[in-house]
Amino acid sequence: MMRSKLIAELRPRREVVSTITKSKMLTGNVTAAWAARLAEVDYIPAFPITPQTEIIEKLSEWIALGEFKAKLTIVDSEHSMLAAAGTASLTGARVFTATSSQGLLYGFEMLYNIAGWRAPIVLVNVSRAVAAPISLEPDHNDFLSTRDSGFILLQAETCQEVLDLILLAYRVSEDNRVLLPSLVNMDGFHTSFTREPVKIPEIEEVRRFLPKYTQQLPFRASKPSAKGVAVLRPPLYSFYKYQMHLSSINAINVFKEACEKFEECFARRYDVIEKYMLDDSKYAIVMMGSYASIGKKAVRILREEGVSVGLLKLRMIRPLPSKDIRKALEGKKAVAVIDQNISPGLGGILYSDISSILYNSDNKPKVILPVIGGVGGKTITLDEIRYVVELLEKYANGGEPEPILLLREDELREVESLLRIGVGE
Amino acid sequence: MLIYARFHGRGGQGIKTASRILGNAAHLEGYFTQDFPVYGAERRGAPIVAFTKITDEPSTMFDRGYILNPNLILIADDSLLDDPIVNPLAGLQSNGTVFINTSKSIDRLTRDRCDIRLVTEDLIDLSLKYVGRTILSTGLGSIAAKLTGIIRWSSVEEGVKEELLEIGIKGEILEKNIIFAKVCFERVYPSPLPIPKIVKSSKIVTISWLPPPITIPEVRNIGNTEIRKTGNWRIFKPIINLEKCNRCGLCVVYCPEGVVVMNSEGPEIKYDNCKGCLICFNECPVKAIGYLREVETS
Amino acid sequence: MAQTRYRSLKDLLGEEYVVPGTPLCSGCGALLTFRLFHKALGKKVVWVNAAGCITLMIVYPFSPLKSSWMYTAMGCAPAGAQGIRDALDILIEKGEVDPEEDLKVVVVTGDGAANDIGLQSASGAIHRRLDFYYLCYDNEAFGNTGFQFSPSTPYGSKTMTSLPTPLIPEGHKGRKKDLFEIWRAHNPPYLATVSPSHPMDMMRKIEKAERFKGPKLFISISPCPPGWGYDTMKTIRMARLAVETGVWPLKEAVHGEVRHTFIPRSLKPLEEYLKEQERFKHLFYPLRREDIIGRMQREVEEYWRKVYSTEVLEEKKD
Repeated sequence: MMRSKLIAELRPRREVVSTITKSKMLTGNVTAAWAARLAEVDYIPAFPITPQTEIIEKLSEWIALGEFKAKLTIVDSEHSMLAAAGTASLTGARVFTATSSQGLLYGFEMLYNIAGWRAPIVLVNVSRAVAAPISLEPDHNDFLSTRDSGFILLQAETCQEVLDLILLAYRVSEDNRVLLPSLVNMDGFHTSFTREPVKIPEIEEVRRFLPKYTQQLPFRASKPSAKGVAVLRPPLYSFYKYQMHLSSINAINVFKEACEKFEECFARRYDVIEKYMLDDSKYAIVMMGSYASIGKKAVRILREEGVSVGLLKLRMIRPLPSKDIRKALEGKKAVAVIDQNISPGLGGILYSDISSILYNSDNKPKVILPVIGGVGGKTITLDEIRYVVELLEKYANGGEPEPILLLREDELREVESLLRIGVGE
Repeated sequence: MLIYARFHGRGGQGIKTASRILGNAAHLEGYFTQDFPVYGAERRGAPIVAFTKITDEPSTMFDRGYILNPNLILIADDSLLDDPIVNPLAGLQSNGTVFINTSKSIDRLTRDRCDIRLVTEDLIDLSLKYVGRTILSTGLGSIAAKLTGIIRWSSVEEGVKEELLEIGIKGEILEKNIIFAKVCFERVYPSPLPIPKIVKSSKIVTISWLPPPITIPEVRNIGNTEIRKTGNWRIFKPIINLEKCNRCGLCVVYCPEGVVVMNSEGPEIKYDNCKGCLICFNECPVKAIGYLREVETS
Repeated sequence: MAQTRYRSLKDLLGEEYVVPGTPLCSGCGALLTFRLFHKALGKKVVWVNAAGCITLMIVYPFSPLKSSWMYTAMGCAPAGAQGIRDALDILIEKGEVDPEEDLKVVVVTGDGAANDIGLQSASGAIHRRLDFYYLCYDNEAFGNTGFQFSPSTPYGSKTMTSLPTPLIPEGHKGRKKDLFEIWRAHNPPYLATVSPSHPMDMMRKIEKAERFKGPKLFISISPCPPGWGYDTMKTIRMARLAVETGVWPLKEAVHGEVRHTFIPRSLKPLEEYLKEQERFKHLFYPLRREDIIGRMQREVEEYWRKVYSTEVLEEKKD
């Protein structure tokens, strides 16, 4: 009985238009390139960085072959890349660009500017842990560092989601009620280099979903304007910044509306969050990104073993869809937030977000457990999630939870053997 | 005892230094003191403001930032009185003192605010006489100290010395500044300053979402700076003698602001926005441009 | 230069694109350069700016310009120009923008942004042959923050971060970066130095640059009354003295080929220029520092010796 209910939960809620779209084996990176192509972006400023490079390689190949009409300029840094992206958007071009990790941080100043200019570009970040020490594998410190910039933040789990979220991002960002840029995040390697079947829609279908971008007052000879100007009166600065906040909040409902239209066009349904076996569960774990796939698998197995656990996958990080998250987690006995990031001195970043959402609820979980896992691309196994759920069961009966780092004995042995070589006996 | 002194002036007039001279002198007298300037985008010549707070009771110094309810105001430039954005008398407490550097008589001020005490001096004149150039900071700081009624000359002298050395003024110029400060100190007399009342602010409002473009920080109504009457930055006013003028156009070309225009009769200066840099005077090849101190022209 | 719009000063009296009322300092040399530059470029311009004095020309809700303006950030004005140029190009190519609506894209920054934090971005844009103008107004320091030394500050200048002391009598010990040569090494089609004291030279150079597609680069000396410490009325005088003493050569490079557009018969002593400015006062008072002044003078002479031995002799041969 439980299984049939679960299947019902997974099934699209209403009958949808059937499409003839066939699927192809694509990496997350190539999928992102496809999304930019299907969105018919005008302009792509770029700068290479692992693991994002495949995206701009693909786009430049298509442009060179004449398959795709757009201007791609390789610039001198991510800072320049984002500057060019922002000003091109204000000139009326639909802009796409992509980066990773150090690149995102190098261009960081411009993220706040682009958002403040209200330039609705879409930026793809391919998550990679941030130096020092240098790493190539993913975690979410790069992505989450942008959370106060004013960008709409969306996190993809699968390659299909990469495509769909980029299309959704353009629609939401360019909506007048929002008019803020979007950052669509996918995890390096685990999504960016993983191939899986992706449905690539026809361009006409995409046009039906995504109207043309119109900038209200682009730079034109006949209509001069001054943009990016200084605002030195404190009340006016407060006004603009608060309007950015209100516009970002608008993005929750605009995204939901766009999801309805998306389902109508492409027969796939999204929401600001995704619930997996969550509605009837006693315990919940909160995850996002590619590792949520591992979490889902663990939840399914634990369910089969009779453990009442479900998973909440975060898709929209900014604006933070507080009501949806609160509704999904209210009434749970205990919740674990698995943060694939680390804020030294705090712990996990999402833990504080989730806790603050639930604090004012009358029906809040007894315990919210902070867990750090998957930092620097460290894998998470079924047994690690099993361990987290065991802790939830324990703390639900009392006790104050301690923050934990998921690290296994075999991994510690590996750490120790590397240290022996590096430090010497 | 609580003194809330607010200084108004223009960039380059030494408003910050004046507020620091007062702050330092009060500190040397053993009071608890805070001084604080506000910088904007404005450059030399544009309105700026600085504050000095003095008390004998440290708990009343739990305060920071702007003074909205001064009991002592010092205005370095009388042209600021008519500037609606500066509004230099805003919040001045009843029975408070206002000092204005001016060469004019400003009766209308006390007609509008009969509850305040007005003190004026022509500091430009005095500084030209004692220092040989237009310097306001030392005179203004010194006068401010005297008007508080709680600071002795010896502390002002020390304060002037320390503050001027801090900005690299030393030697003969420093000595002249001290004499200038002393003259100023002796020219005015204090009267008791009222205790500033706490300002009641207007109610908190709710801001809801508004559609673009008004929520985008971009200027659509461009070419609109002429309404800023930068002409009141002027200390000296250039005057063209059209009889001498040979219409070469050099004054038009060389004016940074573009306020000199060539008409059919010859070049004309748009005084509303002329900042009085006098490049036109200096560059005129036939010496057809002279200048007067602004006060002498009205 | 056979056909030029600028034959006499009268040709410089045309339409203004910068209206008065800016918050910039009285007597600002940068504003003067900017105003003249705009006159030469016409109205169809978008200025792309990096943090500096000129940034404060446009503070909400005011703009003195009749043209467009884009402030980016201190390090990336040329990249901001790239975005606008590329967007206009692709939108015109796609038929979505009328070519009549096209704009000249002009970067305007101070010497700090040009030589330091924005050098990489400029190098990239010039290297990519971006079709744009770059106007660097050189007031030889970070003027906007209160006159701290920049890579463009000359040896011997006092700034707020290079105060002359008994330990460091010369003030600034560094030497001025040669932005002209740095830019020239990128082989732009057009590159020139200008001075607001020589407006005909400036206007003709901008006019000449219009012929070229690609980077068109200008460095203008921009005397700064509060930073340099001279009376506002002397802005032109300072710029002129800089040219006549030879410390600010007027030159251009077309496809890398350098030619001086003003070669003084004899150089005025550098001292005439130095002694009128507070920033060099410590070289004369309380003690005259012949060693420092002499070194500065020799550097100028060294430069001109090379010019005389190449360009002037070349001309004589012709």
